[in-house]
Amino acid sequence: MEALSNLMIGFGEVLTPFNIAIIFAAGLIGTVVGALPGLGPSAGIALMLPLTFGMSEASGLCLLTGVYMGTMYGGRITAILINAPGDAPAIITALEGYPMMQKGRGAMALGISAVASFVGGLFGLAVLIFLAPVIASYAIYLGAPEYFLLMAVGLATVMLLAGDSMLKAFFVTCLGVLVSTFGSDYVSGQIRFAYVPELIEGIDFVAIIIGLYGLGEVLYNLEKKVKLELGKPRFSIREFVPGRSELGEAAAPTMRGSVLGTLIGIVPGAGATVATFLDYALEKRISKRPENFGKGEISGLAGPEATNNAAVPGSLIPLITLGIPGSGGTAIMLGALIMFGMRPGPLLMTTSGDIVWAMIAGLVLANFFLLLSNILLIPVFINLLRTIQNNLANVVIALCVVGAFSLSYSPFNIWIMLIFGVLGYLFKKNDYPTGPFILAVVLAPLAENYFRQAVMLGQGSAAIFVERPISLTILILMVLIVAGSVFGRLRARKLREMRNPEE
Amino acid sequence: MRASELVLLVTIAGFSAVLCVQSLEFRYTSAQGFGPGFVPMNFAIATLVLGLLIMLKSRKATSDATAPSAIGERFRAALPAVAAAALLFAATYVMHLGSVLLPLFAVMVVISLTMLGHSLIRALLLNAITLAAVFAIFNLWLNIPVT
Repeated sequence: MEALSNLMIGFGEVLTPFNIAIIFAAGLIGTVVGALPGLGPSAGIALMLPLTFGMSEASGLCLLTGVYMGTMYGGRITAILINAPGDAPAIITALEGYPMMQKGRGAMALGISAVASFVGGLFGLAVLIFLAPVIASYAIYLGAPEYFLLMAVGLATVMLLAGDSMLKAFFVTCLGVLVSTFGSDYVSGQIRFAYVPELIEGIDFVAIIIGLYGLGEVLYNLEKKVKLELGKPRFSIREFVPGRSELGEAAAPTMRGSVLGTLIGIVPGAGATVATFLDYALEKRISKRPENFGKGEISGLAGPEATNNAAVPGSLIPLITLGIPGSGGTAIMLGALIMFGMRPGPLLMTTSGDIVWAMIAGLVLANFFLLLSNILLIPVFINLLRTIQNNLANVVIALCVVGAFSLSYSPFNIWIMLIFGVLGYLFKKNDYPTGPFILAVVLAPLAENYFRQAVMLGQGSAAIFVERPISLTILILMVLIVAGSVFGRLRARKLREMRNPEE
Repeated sequence: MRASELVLLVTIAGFSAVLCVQSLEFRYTSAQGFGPGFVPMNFAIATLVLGLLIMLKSRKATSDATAPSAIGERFRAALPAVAAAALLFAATYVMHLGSVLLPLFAVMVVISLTMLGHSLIRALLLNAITLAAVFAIFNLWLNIPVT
């Protein structure tokens, strides 16, 4: 009850015409920034930071968190419409949303993902409001062994993203790990494979995804002479507002995604990207139609979208209660809190409770605005695509090149984007799965650091992974995932052989 | 095995071999754990072994697709993608002179004319509008110095 009364005080602070306008604008700006390839939540918040200088603490934080939430909604738009994820968590959205687009159901994919994002965001906010201090208190019990095993569980989902050939999946996973080893090694401080100074910080992950998914798709479509036939611009509500059957199909995955996204969002360092991959793997594992994944399956779209947005309030929990940023976006938020003269840490809720609760109230408001604006803007996005469909290849190329340039304001990341664009094209042409590659690029640096730290903590012994109760539990979970996947594959092969004995 | 898959595997194998050799410059183990050479070396070797396995597996499943005529046809089909990639690499090289949008505009016009079947006026107009919108968003609104 205390949480609710605090929230009401927060709403009292936020519900002024100026703050409402700020929150609405922040949501829209975040949506557009998130939709642009190359610009994710970190870039969105960083770009808006100078605008907050003259504002009150509550207004400034509402603006920044609104942009943060908006980018999570926006990332899905280009992922679904042109297979160019605006940010890393939207990669999974592209896996299911783009096939729906190709089947002429792009507007519906946007509608379903908007509703799932809203539910996920709302669930995450409810947890943030009621359970923040309780849940965050458990995060301090996690050490390097547990973090490594969490990353390893993520990597184990390669088996679920593998597609037809496990050998090819392992091959691209190993390649992804190799790509991730470029740059500074944070355990020893040494710099690996930095052939040029730009590689000291490693290969920019965003340049990789822009190339792999955006440019790779364009090159493949140019070869196959794929042309979108979306017809002339029109407006039909039935096209983009999900009906009872779509909502029924999306309901359970959305709820599962909301829970998973919030829980993983709370774990510092894991973030929305890891959460969406894990949720996608979970949905595929428990689906009655796993063969439909990658072809426009609603549960594979709704679950990860809810996860993605639930991870935002989730990642704010350790930031607010412990002062630990759980992601790149919250790291910039941490800077903003300090900039406003607040002291992030366990005492923040006591010393600056009114501002924190105003920020949370602003997030609740932003989530409602974002649902409305994203549903209402679907015809704009779809009709925009219909207008440019004859020149889509060039529009995507322009966004990819300029998006890659904007990462470091130099052509270096354009080279990286081009190399991975060609790689993405060759992967697609020869049926190599891209999911395991991206998963490895995301998780391997974290997993390597935590693994080596854990072994150092155990004074050279790997027994540390089984001696700690939480790490042992995660280890058992990982073994179950791997065993379940192997068993599932063997069973599927046996069933196929029984149906087609001549194979 | 397709020629494109062979190119992919050989390129990745070369990349892995280089990293494998260069990872020898870093310590594999330390007094209480593993050094910075541990992950790159092991995964470079794993990549090489898995690449070799894929090649061996594909050789067993050799089909008519490797016949010279099939290779020629496949190359002709892949030409637009290869040409677009080559144009983009050349344009990126030119971007080091200062402008990003001008070389990009040239590539987009060539793609429009040769691969998308647009007329010259349509190609110039459509791509100028596209880049004007990109310039407005990135440069004017977001203050990213793309010119």
